[in-house]
Amino acid sequence: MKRIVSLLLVLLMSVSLLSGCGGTGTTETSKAPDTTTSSAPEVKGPNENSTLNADITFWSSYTESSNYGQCIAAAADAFMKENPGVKITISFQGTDISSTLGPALQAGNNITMFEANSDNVIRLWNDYLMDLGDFYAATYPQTDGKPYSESIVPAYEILAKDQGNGKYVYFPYTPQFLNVWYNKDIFDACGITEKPKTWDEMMDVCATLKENGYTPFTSDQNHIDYNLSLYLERLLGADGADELANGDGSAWDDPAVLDAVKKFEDAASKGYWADNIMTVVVPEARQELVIDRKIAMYICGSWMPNNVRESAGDDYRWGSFTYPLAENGADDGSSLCYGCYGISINKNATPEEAEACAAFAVYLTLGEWGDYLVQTCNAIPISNDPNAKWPDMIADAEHIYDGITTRWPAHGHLRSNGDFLPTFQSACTKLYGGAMTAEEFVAECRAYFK
Amino acid sequence: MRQKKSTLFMFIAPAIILFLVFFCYPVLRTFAMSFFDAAQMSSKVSTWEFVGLNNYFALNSTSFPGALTMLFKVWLFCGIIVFVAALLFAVMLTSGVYGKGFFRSMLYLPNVIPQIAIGYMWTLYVFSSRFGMLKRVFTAIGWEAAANFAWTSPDNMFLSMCIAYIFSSTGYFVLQYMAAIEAIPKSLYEAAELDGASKIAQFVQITFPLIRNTLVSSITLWTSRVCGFFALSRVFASASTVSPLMYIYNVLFGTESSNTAVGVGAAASVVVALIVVVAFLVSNLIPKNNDIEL
Repeated sequence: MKRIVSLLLVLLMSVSLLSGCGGTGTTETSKAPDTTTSSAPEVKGPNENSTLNADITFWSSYTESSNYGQCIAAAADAFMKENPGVKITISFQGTDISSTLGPALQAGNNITMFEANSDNVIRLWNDYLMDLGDFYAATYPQTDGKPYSESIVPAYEILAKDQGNGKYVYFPYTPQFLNVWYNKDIFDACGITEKPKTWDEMMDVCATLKENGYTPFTSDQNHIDYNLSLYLERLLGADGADELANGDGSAWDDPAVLDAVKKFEDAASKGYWADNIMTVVVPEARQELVIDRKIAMYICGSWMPNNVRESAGDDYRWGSFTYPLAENGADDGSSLCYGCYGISINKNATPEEAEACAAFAVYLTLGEWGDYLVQTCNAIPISNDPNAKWPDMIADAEHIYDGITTRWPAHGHLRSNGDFLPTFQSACTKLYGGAMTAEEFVAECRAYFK
Repeated sequence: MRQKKSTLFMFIAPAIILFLVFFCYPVLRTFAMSFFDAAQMSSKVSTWEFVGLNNYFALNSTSFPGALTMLFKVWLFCGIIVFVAALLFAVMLTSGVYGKGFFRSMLYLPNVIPQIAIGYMWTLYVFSSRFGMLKRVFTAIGWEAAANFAWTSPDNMFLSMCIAYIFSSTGYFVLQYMAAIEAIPKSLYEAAELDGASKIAQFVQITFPLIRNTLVSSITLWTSRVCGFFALSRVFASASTVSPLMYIYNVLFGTESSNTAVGVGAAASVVVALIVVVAFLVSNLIPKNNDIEL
């Protein structure tokens, strides 16, 4: 009897252990050569003219091991060597910074400067932001004799002033936007030469892709809302999309919304999303996109190609186009979901500390180190220098800002209600997977608002 | 020797001060905040705006009621399975089985692994529809229907999350029950054997009554454990798996794209705290077994 019990237990344990040993055959990532081939700027010796003299504590929203973190640390080392009077201590907080920095500032911790997504900077730490107007008017070695405000992409200078309610409260860098990313090789293989500009044209592209044996779309569940939410933004405009997320729910009764969702139901019925769209778990879908190379498109932020660069390898050719227009839509294509990261200075910093912080922020984001950041992190340049080069990986989106006059939130209006988001994402998953009709989709979203 | 009261106070003062500063103050501040509209968790009290019970009323139009229902289901369904499984393992391991120490350690192991790691282990390596263990095992034995079951689809995410939670929780209670069973004198079982009692009869007549107090206290522990349900809710992300703590986290700190509602989050925290207190009081009402002295 005891032996039988022992055997049973061994069997159970084995099953438990095996649960951590799922198959590996298809999970191997192609080991890509390091994309950080551009060499770091030459570290200069002490600058005898430097008058900067301060100890800076810098809290970053990146992790130390990320390519952003490594670039920031290297730039800080170089800056300290050139400016012996400055000492920079960096604390890499990662995404936890949204919950850790506020209490730390409130407790009076000596945090001189910090950086994060600019929406977070404004929303969470607005009481601690120094007015950077004087620094925007100043010139720096990296601005070629021009004021800083004239050395960055105008859209981000305007955004910074807009978010600060007329004041500049952060130095922008790492611009980001939502877009459609696609595999150029697949488009070429299918003979698709024109990027779609309207929903109908995009459906034609999808049909061509299917005919050639490719799957048009996939998405991980944490990005799955972008496709429909961008369509609704195009169709209803900013106010209409905002009402869907933050209104009393009656906006979901609009027949135009149902018609829009029906277009997605129709697309789903034609198999335009990956077969496993209902079951992929983060980051399975984007890995399949770049490893299998059988799926053409993924809608996400401009950071996505960098996130999967090691799996994709150097030979993966990223294409990009702005989300197509909806028929009779409120938006004419002059709007874009975009944002950036921002470096702010604590308003309690001394003038000497603030001056050193501003000099380091400009040093990191413009000039040689700004270029290095762009190339090593596949980031978008913040410099408005016409010679500023976009990383090859995302260069296809270089003209994304042309003709843009309206800024939508970086992740769209539908995401501004974080409590509604899980309902919306789950419903999108089922809609794309063919497990839910348009009517059921609208009813489920409507039900959230009771 | 008679001690002065001041000396006694001096020795317990550090503990009391720590308790007041790190427990009572945050609790009272959160309770007060639940009646105010505040910009951030750490906003100064002078900036708060009194809104009465509006934050509590506002909870009704959010996902919080659904999150509480989800938590109750976890408490009930997972609780029943965890207790039955833990009792079964405890009885098996205390029956003189070979390798008791090894099995005990293996059963407890998932309890020391962070919940986030448990979550990813299950979603990526067990439930994955492409290369998960279940897919491979069921395909290998030719059971296609089971192999194609969509464990991580939105409709099945709750079930999958419960399985992972049961896996990570059972070991903790196995240890508790084993300790209780091992405290029962062997002579009782020997006497029962002589009287011809079967193993099942021994369990029903001896083991179960004598570990009743442990079973009751484990309900309290389970309740407080379930109320802290958070990490798996984030990994098994779906509309059906939002837990109260995840809801509170989201509205207190927001995300890169969503706004905060600190007062509403504080109100939700107070509701959860009250539920824990009520559950604790109710479990204390269950009469203890004081009839038998071992």
